[in-house]
Amino acid sequence: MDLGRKLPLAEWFTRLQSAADPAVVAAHLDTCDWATEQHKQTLPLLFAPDNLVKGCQATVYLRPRFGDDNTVTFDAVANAGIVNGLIAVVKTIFDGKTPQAILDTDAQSIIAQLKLEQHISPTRRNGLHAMLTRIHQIAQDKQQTS
Amino acid sequence: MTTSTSNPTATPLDVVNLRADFPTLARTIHDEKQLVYLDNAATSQKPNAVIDTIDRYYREHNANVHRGIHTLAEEATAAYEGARAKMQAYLNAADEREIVFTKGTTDAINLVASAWGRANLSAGDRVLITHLEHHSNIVPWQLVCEATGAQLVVADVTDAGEIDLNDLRSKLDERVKLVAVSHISNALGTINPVKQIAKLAHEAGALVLIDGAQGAPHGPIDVRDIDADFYALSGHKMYGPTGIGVLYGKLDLLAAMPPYQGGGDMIKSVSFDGTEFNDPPYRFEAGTPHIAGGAGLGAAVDYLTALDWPAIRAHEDALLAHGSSRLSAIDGLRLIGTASQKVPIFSFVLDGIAPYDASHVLDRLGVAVRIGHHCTEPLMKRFGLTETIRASAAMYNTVEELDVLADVIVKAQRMLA
Repeated sequence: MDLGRKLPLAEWFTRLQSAADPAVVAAHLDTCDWATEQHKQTLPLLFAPDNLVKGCQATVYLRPRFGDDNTVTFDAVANAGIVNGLIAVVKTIFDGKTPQAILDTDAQSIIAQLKLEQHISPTRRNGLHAMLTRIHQIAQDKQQTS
Repeated sequence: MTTSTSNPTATPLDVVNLRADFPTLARTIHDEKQLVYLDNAATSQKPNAVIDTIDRYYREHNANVHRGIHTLAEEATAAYEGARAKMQAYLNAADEREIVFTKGTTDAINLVASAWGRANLSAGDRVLITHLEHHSNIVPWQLVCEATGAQLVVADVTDAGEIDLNDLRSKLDERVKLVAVSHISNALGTINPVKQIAKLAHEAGALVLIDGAQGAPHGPIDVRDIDADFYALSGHKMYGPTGIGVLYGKLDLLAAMPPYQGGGDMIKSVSFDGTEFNDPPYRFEAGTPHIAGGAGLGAAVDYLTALDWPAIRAHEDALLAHGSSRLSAIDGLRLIGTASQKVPIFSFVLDGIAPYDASHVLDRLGVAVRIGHHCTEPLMKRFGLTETIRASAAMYNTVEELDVLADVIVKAQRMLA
């Protein structure tokens, strides 16, 4: 796949998200004009079908990384700038928590305090509601397998 | 780009007067921004005549239809069956029995795929659709082909977003039993040559079903002139209520079809030894229908029938020309779908800007558009995309609103680039 030039977020996303091959994504990281160094470490593994958060108007990929201390760090990226901003909020809420702490977190209340409710209704389908549901499921699954 | 066949000398449409009939259009949103509603391909706004009819039905005439012998039941039946007669006229159907009320276009197509398809398709047969189709005119055929062993074949679309008729002809052989095609593309606005396609289908020995969800809002349809075997439409896209639609089917075809769902008015008699099914259209209308929806759809047809359609068509053509001109002049905006015959539906992408971000900004500035694949994932993939931004105008939109759209897009580009 010859992308030929550096691409902005939305276009790079569209071109690479169907690659589903970490090696292909890794080979084209330098063409992505928005990715941070941290993104570049995580993107190759993010673009897998299992990580796609379904039910979103924007395209969102999310995967958990579990530490030895049972805490979770979430890697996530979306093809829309606004949703990447919401991802930053979500990571602030959940990164570094154990699965039980995640289940005990009242994310709805935090979102309301930040006055981001318009992004949480299912009808908005902007990924925030779907992300919160996925994170909750990840925590539940980890609890059940621990 | 030329447009549909309108009369340029028609009396100009009084859009201001027309808009006054649609109360939602007067709304302001987000800090008193005037709403610019450009999501009509998703659903249309409703005139007072439709809203008042539904309101009056529930306040004064509500009862179940058909077998009740009391005043309210008779009034409700008159409203519901009256709508059937009105739809017959709107479609120029030969017989009222050819009008089956459904939940919408999707339900109508599923009805044909299930009832006609399962009885008439088998291994070796083919159903021919096009690359332009809405999922509702793809998935029902996938399901029935899987169930019967028939094969689904797809005719190509050109880079302009028109059906490749040469490719369609090449795929239309004796194995094809039915051609299913949209009247107008919901994603691109392309007006398809359905009369010509119906002729080709019939010459090959196939039936033709037309997805008229986007066709019906643009004026009365003549199903006999098209020679459609089936025509499906949704009430809510033609200024009527949600939850009701119509399947037109030639009477001999409907009469030969087995039931789709069981119970309610679709029976003549029931016993544990066997059930005798009703005749069309009731054979395909199981359960208590959406009576208020029928009444509202009838009111929508009354409203549309009274309009000056030459003037409306000329106005929609002007919207198409103006919108195309303004949008194609925007740097970094690429129009998708440039067919020679179109309605004012504008699908586009913006270089370097996610549709989600752009539509969020447009919404905050009062403009309602839709983003996504518009239930046409194969079509999006054909154009190398996963989604577009779609602005779809209706007869009550104005060129000034399209100017607002263009200006707000440029504003969004400055904010998001």
